[in-house]
Amino acid sequence: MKTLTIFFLLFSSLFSYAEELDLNFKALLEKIPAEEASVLAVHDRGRYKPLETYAREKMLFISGKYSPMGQDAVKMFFALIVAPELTGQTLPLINIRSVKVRKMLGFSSEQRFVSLKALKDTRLEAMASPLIAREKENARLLSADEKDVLELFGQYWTLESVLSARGFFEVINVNGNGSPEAQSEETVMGTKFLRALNGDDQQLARNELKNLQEKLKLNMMKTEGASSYSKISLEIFYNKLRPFFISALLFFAIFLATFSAKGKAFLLNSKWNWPVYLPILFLFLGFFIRVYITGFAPVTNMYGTMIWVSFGISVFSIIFYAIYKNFEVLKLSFLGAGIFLLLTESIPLTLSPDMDPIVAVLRSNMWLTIHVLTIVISYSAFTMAMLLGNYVIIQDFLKKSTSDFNPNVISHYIYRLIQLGVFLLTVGIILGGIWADYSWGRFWGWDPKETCALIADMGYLILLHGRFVGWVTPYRLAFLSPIAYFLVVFAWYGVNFILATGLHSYGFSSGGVTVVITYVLIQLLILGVVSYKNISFKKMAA
Amino acid sequence: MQTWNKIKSNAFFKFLSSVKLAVPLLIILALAILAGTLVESRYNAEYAKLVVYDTSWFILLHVLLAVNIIFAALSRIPYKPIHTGFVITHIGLVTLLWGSWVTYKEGIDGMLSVQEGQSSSSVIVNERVIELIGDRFFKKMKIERSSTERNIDSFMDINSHFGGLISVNHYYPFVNPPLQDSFLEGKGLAFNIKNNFFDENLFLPIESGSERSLGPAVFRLIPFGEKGFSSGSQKTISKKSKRKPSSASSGELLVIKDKKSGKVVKEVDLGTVNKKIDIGGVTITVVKKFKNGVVVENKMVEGEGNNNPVLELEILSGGKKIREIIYARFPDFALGNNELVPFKFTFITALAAPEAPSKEEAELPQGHVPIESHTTSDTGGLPAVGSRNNIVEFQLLHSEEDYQAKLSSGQPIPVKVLLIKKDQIVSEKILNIGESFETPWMGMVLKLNSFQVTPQVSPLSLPKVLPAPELFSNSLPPSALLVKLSGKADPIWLIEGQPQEVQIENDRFQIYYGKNIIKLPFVLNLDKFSKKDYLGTETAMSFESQVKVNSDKESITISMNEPLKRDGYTLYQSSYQLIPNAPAVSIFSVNQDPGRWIKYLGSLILAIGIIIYTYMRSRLYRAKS
Repeated sequence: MKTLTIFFLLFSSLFSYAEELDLNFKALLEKIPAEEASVLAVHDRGRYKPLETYAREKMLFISGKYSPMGQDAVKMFFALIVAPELTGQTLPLINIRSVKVRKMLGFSSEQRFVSLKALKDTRLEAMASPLIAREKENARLLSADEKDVLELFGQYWTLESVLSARGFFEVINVNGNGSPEAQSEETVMGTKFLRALNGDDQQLARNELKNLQEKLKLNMMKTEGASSYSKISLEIFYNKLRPFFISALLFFAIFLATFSAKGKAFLLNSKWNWPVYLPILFLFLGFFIRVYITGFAPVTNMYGTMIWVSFGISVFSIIFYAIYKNFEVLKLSFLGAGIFLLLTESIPLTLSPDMDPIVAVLRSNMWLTIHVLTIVISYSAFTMAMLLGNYVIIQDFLKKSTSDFNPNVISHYIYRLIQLGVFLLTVGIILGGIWADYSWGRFWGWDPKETCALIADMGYLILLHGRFVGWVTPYRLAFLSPIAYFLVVFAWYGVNFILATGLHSYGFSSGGVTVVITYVLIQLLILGVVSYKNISFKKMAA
Repeated sequence: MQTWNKIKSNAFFKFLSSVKLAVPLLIILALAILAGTLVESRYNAEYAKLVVYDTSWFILLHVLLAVNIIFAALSRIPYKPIHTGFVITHIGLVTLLWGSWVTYKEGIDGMLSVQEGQSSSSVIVNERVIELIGDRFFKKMKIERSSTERNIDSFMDINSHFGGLISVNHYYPFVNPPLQDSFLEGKGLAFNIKNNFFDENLFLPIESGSERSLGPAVFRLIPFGEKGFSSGSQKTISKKSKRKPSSASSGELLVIKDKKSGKVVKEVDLGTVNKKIDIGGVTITVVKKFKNGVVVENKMVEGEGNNNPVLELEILSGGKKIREIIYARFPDFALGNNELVPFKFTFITALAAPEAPSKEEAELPQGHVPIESHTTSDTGGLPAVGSRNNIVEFQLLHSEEDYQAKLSSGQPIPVKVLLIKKDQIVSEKILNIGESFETPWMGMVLKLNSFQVTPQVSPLSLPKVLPAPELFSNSLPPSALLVKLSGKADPIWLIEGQPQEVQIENDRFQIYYGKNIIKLPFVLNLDKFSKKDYLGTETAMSFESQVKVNSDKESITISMNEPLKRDGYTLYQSSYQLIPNAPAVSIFSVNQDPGRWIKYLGSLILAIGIIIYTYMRSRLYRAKS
């Protein structure tokens, strides 16, 4: 009964928005030829993208959702432009993400969504304007609350630019000049389309849209080459398919299937173990579409590296399975890959999936790509070692000694994975040094990112040396592997999201702290419980 | 062989070669560099270098590590095949450390910046020197920049090198240097400009063409009686006409509403300016009315016409003074930080309808930060920095004699202040020394501090010694030396990077303490610097410099990944400075690294070693099981 109520509440909250929309606005939404409008090749933040992607990004930033109020992003985008000004201004679209900011502006702490008009009546602008100057001077001096205020101010202006159609005119003009005074061909066509949308002749609107689409297509082909236009439809396909999400679900499905005898038998007995490759197939597909559209390896932000780590985990787990024929390792690795992929797909505001271009320093060459790819894929090996470590200590804690489970064997796998990771990480760090030497003339500069990668490398080296002299027993290796993984988390996440200094500034971002802290706490809890038991039974020496 | 075994079984040898040394060393080293990273993120990279990475204990740790690795490799002699991977890996590591040592000791890493159309061969490197330059005298000594104070005992070598002409008495790692202007001697005008974000003391000497720029504004001084910015032909809005009481007639209202309830608390007839209104402990004073408020460089001034009526309020609440600007046409556009004020204000005047204008008409006040051009980025509409066409001009109206007479008799000393934007005077005012000109926007205040016409030595203000750099500052404060000059009793302050002219025993010298500047064996001419952006953004896609070396005819391109190699030096495109209306400046990092190939070799050996090691271990494991 309780579950039902929760379900009902969840559902009603989902649909309550739809009820808030007035009928005129609903009719307007229906009128928007979303499908045709999606493929407009707009130019935004340094690259051509389908208008669908642009609209989704704007809606995500403003409202925290790809489909605000349950509506398609493209429909919403145009409906907001052509709707009467008052309607657009009063829709509760802006998501005030910080509870503290809600209170500061005089809203109740539960009021997550507010309208542009409501925000206009607050002190937001007065609060934000001095912060903007300070952000320019030294962004690191701003407190978290001040950053939240600035972000909300950004959301406010983004919605403002959508409503006034300024954003639309900016992105249909390649040179980024969206002022209506500059009567470019695109602007004229765009204006005609918007005017037609406002009227009743839907066929006229479609025709005007067609003209605009052709014009933008020509623009793109002129600057990017004749074959480039196919990327637009590919990106729309990619947006719809969500390959990483599907891949995550399949990884979980396989992990769960192994718990039933039937499922396990099916996986093991099918020819070539083909179901195992299904999630990997989707992962590869998504990965290569991204690479094709952007023209560079997806390793320039946290989202890209998480996908690359999942990629690495799946490849390593298949290789490990081929060598050692241990199904437990495969199963746990799939769980890890699934968790990573699900994370990347579920917090788009923190892990931005946008494919916008990278800063000059990263454009250059193969060296960079190889250096980052090598370092990040070493994290895959460490992640697997961490999962196996947890597996050993938990199984040991539960006193399960099945035929599948031999702690010494698993611990040996951990050792091999750490070796693999150390090799990749060391080579990656050295390649980074060579790349830095090649571009800036210095091999090593104690930059935080390289330093933290080195710390992680040294942490694992300590484990390997300790194991060599017998200080680190197989059980201890399993116990220490998750601890050493904290160093990886610090180098991977901490430097970019917490320290946020140094030369590797292109990947800097914020957010996700809750997720990481939750992980760290759970991990510490596991380690604590397990070691408490072992100390009381004096088992650590074994 | 026997002696070797004897050496190997020596306890000290065993200790130096043992993993029992390696593991604690690795742990200490890891903790040290972790500390370095944390210091860097809290302060800055330079400070991290100063307290961790460039310290002698940190280098000692590396030496210990190298010794440990070498002994570990030696202890396996005589080698068996199983040792192959191990030995190669550790030889690789030692080679890598050796290469780093060579770079640290012999390498040169500096910066060279050249303006477009100019040439240079001076490279600023990251080591400190003290230089004494006289007529036929030149001496230069390296001096260490440390994070701790040092006294005369640590400067014996340096002092004897300079043969007693100067002697360094003390070193302070961080000082807040006194304003350079207080060193200035002679005639000039000192003034202060401040608002919430900055507080600067500036000094303009009295001479033709005296000018200083601060951010987007230029301050200039017109000496006695010289002709300043011609105001005759320009459209000037004089102070007097602004105060003419055409706007003093009634019919202008200030409506004060409660912020929460929206109820009108009070309506005030604005018949007179400077009217005080008291509501529940909050005092509101009408400071000024503008018929057409125009924002010039963060200051609200009167423009032409009646386009944009503005009211300036001063609000005293809870012991705090707050400035607020109310636009009649833009009731929602409050400016100041009015958290303490529970009211919302509306200005109603016959000059503008109080209701919000429709979207087409809505134009922000002229000169207001443009909002349109910056909304593409998701961080929001960030106001742009103003243009450089803003000039503040100080005119000394009378003759030098008049000013001297006024000074000696203690009379007020008037200076005419003009605010000029795009060759138009937007405001002018006569200020006396000591008076300040409060401008409403963001509380920016211009104050005339002092004025001196008789040449006099200003008392030397002393630098302030700081315990550590400020948190999150982008750069390190300079260090300073106390230097005693031969024949003089009191030592002088020598601030890093600030050369000084001094008199030692009847001779003039220039004394300099700061980063060393070395000359390249060739001259670099910058023909052109170009930056390519991603279409429609200001994100640099690539940037490059067209240069010529010496008087070569052939032009060479230096870009992100195409450095220039010449005479053992490598020049990398590192950065640039683009300032509107000024030639571009290209910044190169200049590098000479004799350790490079040793490091590369070490890296290669290390990588091969790990592969062999991993491969042989797995064979061993399989053989065992």
